[in-house]
Amino acid sequence: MTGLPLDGVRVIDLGVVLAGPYGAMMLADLGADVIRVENPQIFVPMTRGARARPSKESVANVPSISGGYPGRDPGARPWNRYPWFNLTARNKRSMTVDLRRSEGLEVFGRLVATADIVIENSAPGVMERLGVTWEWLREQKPDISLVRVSAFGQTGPFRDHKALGIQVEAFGGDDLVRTYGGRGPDANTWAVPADHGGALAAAYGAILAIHHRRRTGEGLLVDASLVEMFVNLIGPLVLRHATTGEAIESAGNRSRKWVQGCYPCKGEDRWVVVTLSDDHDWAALCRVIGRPELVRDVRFNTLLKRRAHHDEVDDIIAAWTREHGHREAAELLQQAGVAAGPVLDDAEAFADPHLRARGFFVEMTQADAGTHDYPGPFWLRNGERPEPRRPPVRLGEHNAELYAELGVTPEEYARLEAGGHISEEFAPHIR
Amino acid sequence: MSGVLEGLRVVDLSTGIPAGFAARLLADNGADVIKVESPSGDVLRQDIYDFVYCNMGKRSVALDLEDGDARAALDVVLDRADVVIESCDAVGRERYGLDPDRLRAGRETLIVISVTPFGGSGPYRDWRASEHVLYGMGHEMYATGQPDLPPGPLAPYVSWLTIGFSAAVVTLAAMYGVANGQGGSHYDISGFEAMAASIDRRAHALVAYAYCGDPLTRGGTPEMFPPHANPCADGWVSVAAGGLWWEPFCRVVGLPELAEFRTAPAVGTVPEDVHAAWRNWCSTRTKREISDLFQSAGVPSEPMNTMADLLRDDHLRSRSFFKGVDVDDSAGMVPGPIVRLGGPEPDAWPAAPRLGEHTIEVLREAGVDEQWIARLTAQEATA
Repeated sequence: MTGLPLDGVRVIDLGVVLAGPYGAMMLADLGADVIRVENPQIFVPMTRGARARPSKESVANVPSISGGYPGRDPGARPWNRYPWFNLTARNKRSMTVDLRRSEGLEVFGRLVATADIVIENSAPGVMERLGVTWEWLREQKPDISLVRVSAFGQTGPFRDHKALGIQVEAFGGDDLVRTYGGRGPDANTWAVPADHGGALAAAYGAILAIHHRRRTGEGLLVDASLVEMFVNLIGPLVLRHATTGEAIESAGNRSRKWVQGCYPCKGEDRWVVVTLSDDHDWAALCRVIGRPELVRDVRFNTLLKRRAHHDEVDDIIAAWTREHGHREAAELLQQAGVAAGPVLDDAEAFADPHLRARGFFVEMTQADAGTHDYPGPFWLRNGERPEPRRPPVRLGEHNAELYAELGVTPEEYARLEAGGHISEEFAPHIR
Repeated sequence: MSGVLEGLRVVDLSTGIPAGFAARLLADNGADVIKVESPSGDVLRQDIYDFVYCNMGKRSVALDLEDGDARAALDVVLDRADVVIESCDAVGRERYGLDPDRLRAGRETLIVISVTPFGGSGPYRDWRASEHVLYGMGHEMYATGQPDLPPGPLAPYVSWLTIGFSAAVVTLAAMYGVANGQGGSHYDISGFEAMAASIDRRAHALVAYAYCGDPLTRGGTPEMFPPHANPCADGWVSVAAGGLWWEPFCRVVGLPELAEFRTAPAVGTVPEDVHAAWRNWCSTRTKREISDLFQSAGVPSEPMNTMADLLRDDHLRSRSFFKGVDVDDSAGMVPGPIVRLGGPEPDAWPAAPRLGEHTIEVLREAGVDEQWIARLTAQEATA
């Protein structure tokens, strides 16, 4: 009993890379019993690492986001120490089984019979090749729901397109509306907002499915297309274009409506974002920067004029921000009621006093990765952030307990272990 | 559109995009979402597209909450609610009596969802934020863009709507808990934290930072050739040619200049004549032609679509993705469901309500008597 809203809901997490596993973890944070089913005979790149057993030298110079093992050391079991994976792995259990072989599929079927939801985000066709189809799942558990997340969805001419996050972003219209003002999309670097939306879509579809089952007794097949989900996240631009025919140009760090910019501050590569939505904000800013005479300056005394003279306004603001640290500038402006915020790097966000005061980071100790602070659930319930129930799950950590729950006898267990289904290591042939 | 939440009542006391979108996602699934606005209207109405997008399918009740009689009528409406979504700052909560504890008092199964920029506690509690401020603080803005330029933008709306989407997920879970016999609760959702939890790089960058102490920087993640954005005959195209895709990529392009590289090289190490040959190859082909060539060789590649491209795209049309919607009597189009639940979908989305369009109907349903309604109308405490 977790006392959390999804208490008693069982989710099978077949997720790969980030979106599927992270969506499943959102459900785990909300109280669901989430079981990762992993294959020790196959290593899916960028899930529990770029490779199963990288050398210490090979990760020494890889950017931390994709190679930052604790202390830059992959250790004896790198797959339990990978930052991407461990971010997505708290409050879960893990069992291993090779779904490509009939005895593995049989065990998986027994697990499905106890579950409410299956989440997968492999390329369309992968589940079908394993025989894990919607029809097969329903034979194991008539009211099961299946949440499928893919780049283009499970139907349509581009269903089988190969795509990484950056292709979803390109297709979905993101790149062309987030350029630096007046420059091409090549001047900005890639982003993957659809990855995070994909995780949310998996969780959203899963919870809607169990609401539906409560009403009707039936499960749902949920088809989440990352492209479609992403276009929802820029929906007002689509609506504006569709209604008016207006071409949508990127405003860069400026706003389509207000005066806004990202201004340089004292120190190396330090910046503050400032947004001025009305005359009140402008007057407050003029006072903070010690230029009260600008409030009535006819070049700037309406929003329309400030936008028409945006370059001059930017120069005025930047002349002041250059003399102040980014946090100091933001605090002075906020004290006067102006929306402003320091652009925080990872080190600053990790130490941020507000995030710390609200307990956003949660400390977890995991046998192979050690003790670290992780970003926790993004919500507080009745004023509290829920304590993690389990640290980032290790490969096959719960094999014994889960196989026993499924009624597998010790003899069967030994046979499956000898057959390479049950392990806490990826098979030795996997490098 | 689905009927999954039919029969459930949501009172949306919020203003602005994130909380408004969270409530709209509940309306998308059949919940009866009552938007409560002041008689002068939600400020979001100043931008009709933002307003329509965040309020399609809701009913609008106009009540002046400064008026004690109108505030009491709101309490009658709240007595029938399953969920309240609000976005008040501390001043507003005090002034309108909208403190979450006050809202929950005597309403044992009520779920209250607060969606604010920084949450209801902590040193920045009373800070104001624009979308870009939250992006800069919470998200990976610092490491986005080029080292010789300021930190680069994310698309407008994506941060706001992601925060709203996050709030909707939590709300749906809370509703499931109550449907299964749990008591009500209050969820405090901070936009700053919803951003810092984003796997658009920030959240796993924070774990990597905890593990090895290296923050991400602009320019710190070298791009592999070809770059993510390549100009072509009619716009821009993205191609990914790392790992196993390098060989088929080179085969499709057929440029002898690429032959010397056995794997995808870092962009910065590629000689200018190779860049020039690649740009020239792209310049004679359209973004769709290039994408088709690479996809038929199994290499990830997609055009960088404009809004117009999206609206006429064959794939999205085959899935009947875009839906009609009324925008002040003009015909607009909006993206369809954020995920597909497999049921029938209408061709058009319900319109956003006019200010106060449903005031009397909703007050009557809640049991506010005719005299009371007449009094509110006379006092101009409704619209």
